[in-house]
Amino acid sequence: MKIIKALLSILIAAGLVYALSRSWGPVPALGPFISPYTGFWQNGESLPSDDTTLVELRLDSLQDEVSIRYDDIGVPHIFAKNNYDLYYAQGYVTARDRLWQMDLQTRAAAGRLSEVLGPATLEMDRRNRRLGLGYGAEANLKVILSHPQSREAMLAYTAGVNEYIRQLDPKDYPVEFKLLGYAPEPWAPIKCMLMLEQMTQTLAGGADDLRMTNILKTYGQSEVEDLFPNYPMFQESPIIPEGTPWDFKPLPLPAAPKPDAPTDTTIIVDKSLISEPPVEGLGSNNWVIGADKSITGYPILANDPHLELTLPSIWYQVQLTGPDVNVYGVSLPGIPSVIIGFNKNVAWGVTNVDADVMDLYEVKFKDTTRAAYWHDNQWKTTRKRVEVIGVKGQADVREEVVYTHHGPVTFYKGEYHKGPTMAVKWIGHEPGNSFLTFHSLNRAANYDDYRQALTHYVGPAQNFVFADNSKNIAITVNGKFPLKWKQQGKFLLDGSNPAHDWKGWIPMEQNPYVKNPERGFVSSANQSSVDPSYPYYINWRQAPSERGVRINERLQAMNNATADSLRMLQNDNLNVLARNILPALLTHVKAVPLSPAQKAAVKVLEQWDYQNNPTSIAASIFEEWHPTLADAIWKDEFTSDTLFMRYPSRDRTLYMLLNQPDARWFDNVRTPAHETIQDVVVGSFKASMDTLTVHHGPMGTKWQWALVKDTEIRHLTRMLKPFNAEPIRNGGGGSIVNATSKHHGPSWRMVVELGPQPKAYGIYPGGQSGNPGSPYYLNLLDTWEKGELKELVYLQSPDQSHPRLTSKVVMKKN
Amino acid sequence: MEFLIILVVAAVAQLFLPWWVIALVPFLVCMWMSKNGWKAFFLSFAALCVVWAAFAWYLHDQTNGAMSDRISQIFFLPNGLALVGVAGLVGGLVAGFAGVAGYHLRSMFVRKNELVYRR
Repeated sequence: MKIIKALLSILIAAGLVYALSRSWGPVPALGPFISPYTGFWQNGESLPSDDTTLVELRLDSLQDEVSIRYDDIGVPHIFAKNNYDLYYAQGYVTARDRLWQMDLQTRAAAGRLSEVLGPATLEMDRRNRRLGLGYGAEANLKVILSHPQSREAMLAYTAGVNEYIRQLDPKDYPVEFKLLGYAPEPWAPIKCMLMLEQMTQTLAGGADDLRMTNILKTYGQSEVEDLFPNYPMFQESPIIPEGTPWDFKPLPLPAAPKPDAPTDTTIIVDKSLISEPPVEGLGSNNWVIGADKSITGYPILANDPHLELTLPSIWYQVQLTGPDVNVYGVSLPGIPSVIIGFNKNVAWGVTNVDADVMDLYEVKFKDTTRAAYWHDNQWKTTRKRVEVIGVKGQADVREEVVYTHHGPVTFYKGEYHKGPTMAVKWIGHEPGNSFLTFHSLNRAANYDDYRQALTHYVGPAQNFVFADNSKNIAITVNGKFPLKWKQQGKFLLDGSNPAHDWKGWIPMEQNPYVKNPERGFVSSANQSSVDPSYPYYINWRQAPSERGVRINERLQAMNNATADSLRMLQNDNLNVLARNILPALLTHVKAVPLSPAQKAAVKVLEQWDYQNNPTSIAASIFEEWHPTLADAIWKDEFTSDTLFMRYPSRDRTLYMLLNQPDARWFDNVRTPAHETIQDVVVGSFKASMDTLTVHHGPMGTKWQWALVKDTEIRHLTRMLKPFNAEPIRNGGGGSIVNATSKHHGPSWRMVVELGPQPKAYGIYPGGQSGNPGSPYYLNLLDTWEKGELKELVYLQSPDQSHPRLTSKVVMKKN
Repeated sequence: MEFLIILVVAAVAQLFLPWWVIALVPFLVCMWMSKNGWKAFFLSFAALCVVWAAFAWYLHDQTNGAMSDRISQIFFLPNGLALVGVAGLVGGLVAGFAGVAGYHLRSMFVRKNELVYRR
């Protein structure tokens, strides 16, 4: 009896300890997690009671003393005596605030999420392995480590991150590590490269070659030319102003082969593993007004990059001061230097170009060993790269990725889809030193330095806007662009035909740019880089023109502008699309009998000032209506159960609605009746009214745009809801200058007044700390939501006194 | 007496040793000095419940629930304070069962009245 009691009680106690020591599926080991000694309790932080704390850190591998001043919003201002220490300290403080984010984002790029998250992310890992992000990162790392300045920055930053990790006890790990049950691993320079690859994937990692190929096969050449033109037909306001002379002798373009796409292309059914073209909302605005338009007599520059809004914030503010640099701006956690910012003499910003730098090639293997593929009338050997994907709780998955001279094979015939075997040619694999562009811009003193800095850049291609204290303003559509025949890569390419290969590059100095244009400002909003007079092909489609049109019309009219004028433009809510099309749509709607509710809605729309303001009901109706209208026009012809296609652009749709009322596309081919433009417009109007009513009740205050849009800022895991921000209530929209949509928006807003002493303002939706238990996790959100900016504290010396400075950290050599 | 010894030793030991020391300490202490199973359970439970709940409450209070209020939502609890209770309960249960196990292990080798004589 005693034995039974003893054994039983020991079993219960041991079982309880065991059960609480291991993770159960997504549930972390609860014992250490709930323990106040090691668990999440340890991650709560409060504001320091004493604002003037001084912390002294003794660190290995520093060369000299480093001072870090923190300001009241948690931005570190780093003062180092040499560049090694500068980037060492940047690595250290960034890791202190963002370690888990750095780990997760580089894991995602490396295809290593399943190691810590289990089989749920296996497909995503497999896709990134096949796309060769690791391969591209390695190719770039070789170049970066062969250059003394970039090598120093990478190694120093890595040492700084690792010094921080080394000091951590498990109780100090960021809470996400505790929740997901893994420990931080050492940083390495390859991870900095993986971060760059991840940005390249986000901004230049989509292609609609397959959709276009299916459309070509279904509708033929002339319909494709008509519906998918290479330049907007209705409206455009290109980044490089129309009429800007091209002051160079262009290289001859490669001859377009006939046919320029494989003729026997099979139809692709499934969209798994296929990279989607970028969604609207992944874009950005930047502009600079010249001295003549500003009240300060110096240029004023503005930039707001639009990305998926996540927590921890995408960007990390930092000031970096060293022997040859004093720069302030935002960095990407995981990459040394400042990406968007200003120094005493210059300011710069970026928006995405979305050039056609990802092409798919149909390849044919000799046999099932995949050892050889057909190219230029001969069998050529492939190279193989074995990728081992670790999966938590399961055996490793081995993936042999086959490389052709185009790039890795990402799709196999018969696997996932019924299309051909395809390899991808992608700018993300092109070795280069894009990092050096930012390293140099951080130190730039004038226009020539800016132009020189850009020459190092490969991708993802960006519109680099620039201003300096000599009152120069400029914008360069910058990146390494393949030299292509016109619309090469709009459709699937033939991987066996050497005429289909990329044929060299557009010379860097011939990339589109403009300096000090007559109109007194430059701007970009991801729209067409150039008008059709530019001799080279960049892409057949870029972002819709509305934001660019609005920015340019407001800048044109702007005089005596201040930083606040530009801030207000960043928050501009005018709906250009509605201004273009709504009157015409309403004419159709008013020509038919309507219910009282529909009549009321028409009235609201007629009285609308086209502002997507937070309280606007008209904005909600229109924003529901126009995508419904696009569906009503195109869905019958450009979607199907077996074909994978896309709609014609919004610009083309507008052109048709306004100028081609009898186009055959208005008819719904899935019904026996013949629908007219009026049927389609009225039908979509009624349908969108029904949708709004179903989701938000009858028309009333619940239809206010901020509530309908319901912008959400989610934690990077997307599943830890308590780490999300409170619901956002602001205006804007996908095609609006204030580009806040459901999950995307201005991830950083900056305005810089140049001058003898630069004055700058900035904000992002979140905070400096990645710790959901920190007072600096969401401290900037309210200011961002209101559309306001905070003045950025730009220090000149480590001992400068400033009312907004709080604690100080001194790092000393051990 | 057991209560105090468990409380102090476990509170300190957790600074250096893994979390499961909250089972080891009551196990050993109860093996050494407990008089009956119920007492072993109750005193061990109370000691660790106090240690975990008090420390958790302190951290919760210091940070105004900055982390604990968020985590409480993951566990479908109303706030961080409820989570303080959960921490006390979990710590207490682990310690309580470990204490009982310690007592029974010893009583397997010792006659009941021997335990009484030690009083």
